[in-house]
Parts: sequence; structure tokens; C-alpha cells
Amino acid sequence: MSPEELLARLRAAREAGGGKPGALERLRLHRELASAAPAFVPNLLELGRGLQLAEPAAGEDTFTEAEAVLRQAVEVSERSARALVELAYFLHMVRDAPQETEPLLEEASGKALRLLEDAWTGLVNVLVEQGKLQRALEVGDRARQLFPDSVRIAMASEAARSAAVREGLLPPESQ
Amino acid sequence: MLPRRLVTSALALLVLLGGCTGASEQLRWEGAEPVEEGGGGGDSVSPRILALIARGQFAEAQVLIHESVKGGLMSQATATGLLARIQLLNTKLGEIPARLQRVASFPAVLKDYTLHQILLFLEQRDYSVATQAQLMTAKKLIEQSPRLMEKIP
Repeated sequence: MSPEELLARLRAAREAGGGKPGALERLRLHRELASAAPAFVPNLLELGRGLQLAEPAAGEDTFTEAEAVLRQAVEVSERSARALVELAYFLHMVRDAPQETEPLLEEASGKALRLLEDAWTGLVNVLVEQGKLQRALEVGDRARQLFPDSVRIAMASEAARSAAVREGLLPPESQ
Repeated sequence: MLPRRLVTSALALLVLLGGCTGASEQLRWEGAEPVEEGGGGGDSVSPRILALIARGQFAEAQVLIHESVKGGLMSQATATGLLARIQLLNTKLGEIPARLQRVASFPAVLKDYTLHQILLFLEQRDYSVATQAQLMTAKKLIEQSPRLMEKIP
């Protein structure tokens, strides 16, 4: 299936059944797409949510199906933070399994933080490059608060400060 | 005077911190410090609003929230978060989506109780209607179900 077709089918599924997550028609389209494209994670995540809100006609035990779909999403995404969070909330709320939920959320938080560090470092650098120094300083300061030990953040943030001093946005002693 | 305010603020925090589900609930807890009566300068959550919500005086809290936004004391995002929380506190367990009422541990005995009432039972360690585990399951179901209706970020 081409990327365009995948996305078109996902959008069609989302809009089916008046857009209601647990609507039968919507679930049908998400299920069909999941069996045609078992590694297409965005669809698996939406199906996972929809099955937790499913109308009675969708089946007797949609929770078992939701769990399988969410575990599949974790696997094929190579344990992405997003998929881990979806599975964790399911296990906590539906299965009442806090002990199993906790390590999944620890793993998701760690991954999300590393992603944020990566994104903020790149964002500060790209803002400095374009001369958007005020915003670069804001992001850099915020990033330093959350990642005081990150060398990458510290360097990007310092580069923003130096540029701001050169431009007269900050007094020299603030470097 | 001060101890009473500390107590109401702590109570308010307990009830509010009970759960921040949706991403829309961007509350700034540092603003919940007991600064001045009726205060809450800048973009912060006034302790008085938190105390009103904790006591279940939702109508008064709503008025104060709207006034704070109008007066530039509170951001629209904070107001939206607080109003959503009030709506959630008013939600009865029996009002969550039907499918979720079929989870194995569903405490049907609490169906007619709102989240606010359930939180009060927990806080007062009142297990006359339901056990602690049932109360915690009910709290979890009411607080977490709205995220299933939201768009996946």
C-alpha cells in the first residue's frame, strides 16, 4: 500500500461513524486497515482507543482485542514512547495492573525526554542560525532548567547567548 | 488565619492533583502557594479558586475563574483547564462510556457518585459505601476516560 493510500484510509476511518471513537463503522475501517497494514502504528493506536469505547455491537470482549492491538503497536514501533504510553494507560485503567504499567511509563518518559533534548538542541541552533535570538534564548533557558547536565543543550544555549550579546540584546556580563 | 489558609490550599491541591488527564489541563501549581487572600497575581491559579473547587463550591469557582480571565489575572488556557476539571468533578461514575463500565474491576456500587464525592470519601478514609480499592478504581476511570476521546498527539 502506498503512503498516500495508508493516510487516506486512516482519514476515512477517523471520519466514519460521525467521528465517534467507538462507532461500529469507524471500528470496522480501522480494523480492516490494521489487518492490511499491521505495522502502521497511527492506525493501531486509534483502533486501540476506539476498542476501549466500542459500541456493544462491536463485540463481547473488545478489551482483549485492544490489548493485542496496543501490544502490536509497541512491538512494531520498536517501543516508541507514544505506543508505550497508550498500552500503559490501557493496562492501568482497564486491567487495573499498576505494577505492569509503571515500567512502561518509566521507559516512555525516558524516551520522550531524550527526544525533547534532541528537539530542543536542534531548535535552539536553528533559531540562532536564522537570527531569531529572543526565541532561541527562551527555549535555551527552558531547556537548561530541565536538562542541567546536558552538554548539547548547554552548548546550544551558550551559542544563543553569545549571539544575543553580539547583537546587543543582552549586556556583555550576562554571558 | 494563616494555618487555615494553608489547610484549605493543601486540601485544594489534594483534590485537584487527584489527576491531570487531558493535555488541556495545563495548570501551574506553583501559583497555588497561599500568597494573598483572593489573590493570585499574573498568570497563576488563585488559592481561593482552588479552595472553592476543593469544597465543591463549583458555581462560585466558575464565576471567579471568568472574572480572573476578564481581569487579565488568568490565562485562557488555565481557565479552560480548571473548568474541565470542574466538569470532571461533577461527572458520575455511571456517566462514563458504557464499554468502560464493563472493566473487570468496575465498582458498580459507586455509579451514582460524582468524582468529587469519591475524592471526599478517599480523603476522609470513609469506606462505608465502597472499599478503598473500589474508590480508587472509580477515580481512575472517571479521570482517565476523557483522554480516550481526545485526538492522539
